[in-house]
Amino acid sequence: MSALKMITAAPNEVCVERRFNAPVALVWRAFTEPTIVQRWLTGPPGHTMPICEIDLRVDGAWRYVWKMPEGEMEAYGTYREVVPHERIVHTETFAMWPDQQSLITTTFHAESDHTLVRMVMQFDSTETRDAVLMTGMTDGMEMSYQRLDGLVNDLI
Amino acid sequence: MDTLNQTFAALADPTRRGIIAHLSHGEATVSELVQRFALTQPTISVHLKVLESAGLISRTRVAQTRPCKLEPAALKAVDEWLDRYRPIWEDNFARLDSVLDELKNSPGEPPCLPSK
Repeated sequence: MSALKMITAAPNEVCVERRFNAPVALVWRAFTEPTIVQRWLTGPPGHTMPICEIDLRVDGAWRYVWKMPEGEMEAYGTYREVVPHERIVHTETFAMWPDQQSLITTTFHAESDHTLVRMVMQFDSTETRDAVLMTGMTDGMEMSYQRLDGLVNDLI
Repeated sequence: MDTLNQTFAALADPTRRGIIAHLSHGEATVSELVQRFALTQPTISVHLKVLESAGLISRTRVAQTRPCKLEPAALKAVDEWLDRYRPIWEDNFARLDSVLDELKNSPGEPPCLPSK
């Protein structure tokens, strides 16, 4: 169990990092086997993932459908790179924003019996996404002028 | 949500973010902003109009000038919206922790490798 790290390394990038108390082979399975993915990648409480399709090879397609009280949400994409136990690069598009595509690079780093997973999400340059990412270093603190100042200084 | 989209669009421009940063120190007039950003008055005015209609700034009339002032409420809405991402990932990964614990205790599963 370790803390989630979220950083914005570049204007259109968000990096999520998390260490898991399991060997890399197991973590890899948890990220790539549909029946396992369906158990944890469910998002907010009350959401489920009834559809999880993963064709894990270069140019293979994936599709996730989440069900929630308000309806359904779908995301899909294709795999660009697959290096077992090391690296997955895939595109991601949400059905509700069909024009926006992100590129997600997930790397798995074996550390004795732990595994560090780093996901770098690169968004295309639509205004909205850029804005989301550029301001995406929130940490649950109260917004203050000082913080806003630092945030904006990072951006300019 | 429309307002939020408008806010995001307003914040997507570097000059407008610069103006926001500048106003975080206090009110400023258009001519002060023109000087600070070395842009023409019409350009600054266009940016201010976008920021104003997104609710990020407000402008009052004082004699001949219309000082601009930051409206933190709109930024707070953006901040709260973004804060929704973190707990979602924290929840996902907490569930993954339990799934991994379970997998560790069920040996014999073949490793999943990509199909050729």
